[in-house]
Amino acid sequence: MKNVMHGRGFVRRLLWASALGLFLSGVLYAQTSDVIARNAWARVPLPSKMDAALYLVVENHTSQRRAIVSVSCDSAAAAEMHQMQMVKMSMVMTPVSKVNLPARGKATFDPNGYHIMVYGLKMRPSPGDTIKVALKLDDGTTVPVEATFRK
Amino acid sequence: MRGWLITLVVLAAITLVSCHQAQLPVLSTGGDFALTDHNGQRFELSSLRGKAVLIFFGYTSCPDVCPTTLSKLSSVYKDLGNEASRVKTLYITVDPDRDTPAVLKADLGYFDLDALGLTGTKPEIDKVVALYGASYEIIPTPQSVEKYTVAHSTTLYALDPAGRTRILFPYEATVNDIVKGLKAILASST
Repeated sequence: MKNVMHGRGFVRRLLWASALGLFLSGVLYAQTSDVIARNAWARVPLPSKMDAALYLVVENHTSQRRAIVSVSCDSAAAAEMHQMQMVKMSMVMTPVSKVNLPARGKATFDPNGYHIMVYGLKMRPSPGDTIKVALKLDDGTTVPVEATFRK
Repeated sequence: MRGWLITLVVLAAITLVSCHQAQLPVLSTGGDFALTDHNGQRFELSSLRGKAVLIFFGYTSCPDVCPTTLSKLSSVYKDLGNEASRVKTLYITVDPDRDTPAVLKADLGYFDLDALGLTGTKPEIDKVVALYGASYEIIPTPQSVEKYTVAHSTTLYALDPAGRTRILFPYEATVNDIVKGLKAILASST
């Protein structure tokens, strides 16, 4: 039997396999540069909490309408998107499963509007520390976010 | 002639003082109450006679409104300068299940202001909420990691040193608005 572990053929097959692997992982977890996160910041959790609210602006530079359909955070147990709305002088929070990104437009996450909530931070952050979050879009691509903590 | 002049000056002074006090009507909202403070001690609003009081209804798991308001009030205290010691802030929780005295004490201590967290039984809190015309609602959130969220009114109540409600600040009130309002309350009580 031909030994596949030897010879120049092996190196060529290894390179093709690596390229195929990289291509597949790119397709599955492609980061998009057409949708960009800016000005991301997070509130340092209160002393009794290990949860934090994140705010940012997400710009869609494409001519297609997009949507953020989920968020994830490796340094926390869970991440969600929420919307705050003033209803008859009361502030109401609602978990949301989608935030729209208009074509050539943006979505703003700011206090009293949308925010990302991360729960169960693995380490207590201080002002100036950063946290990475990934926004997953409806086309399967992801948008990386790095937010800086503020008091 | 001099008599008329003196009378005119006195009348003008009374008018000016009355106008100043008339700018701050005594509101029908509010009144005395008793709750449990963040040290686990019984607290009565009447114990704060002689100080202006700010009252806010919120909860410590609130992501935006409450930390924003408390940060704003920290700036208010800073801008009040020497008069800051004449103002006490009361933070009344509408989530007594999670906001124990220890939680209130720890989280309020994060902000630079003279604040006392207050909690109690649901009937006790509901009584104070009704007294001040505030409102809150526990909303289950099965789609979230959090079991529920609390929708709550965002008005900041300002009481004079006699315990009477004088100003209702909306959530949009700026630091400057609140400082000016408190200074007017303190000035009208001297």
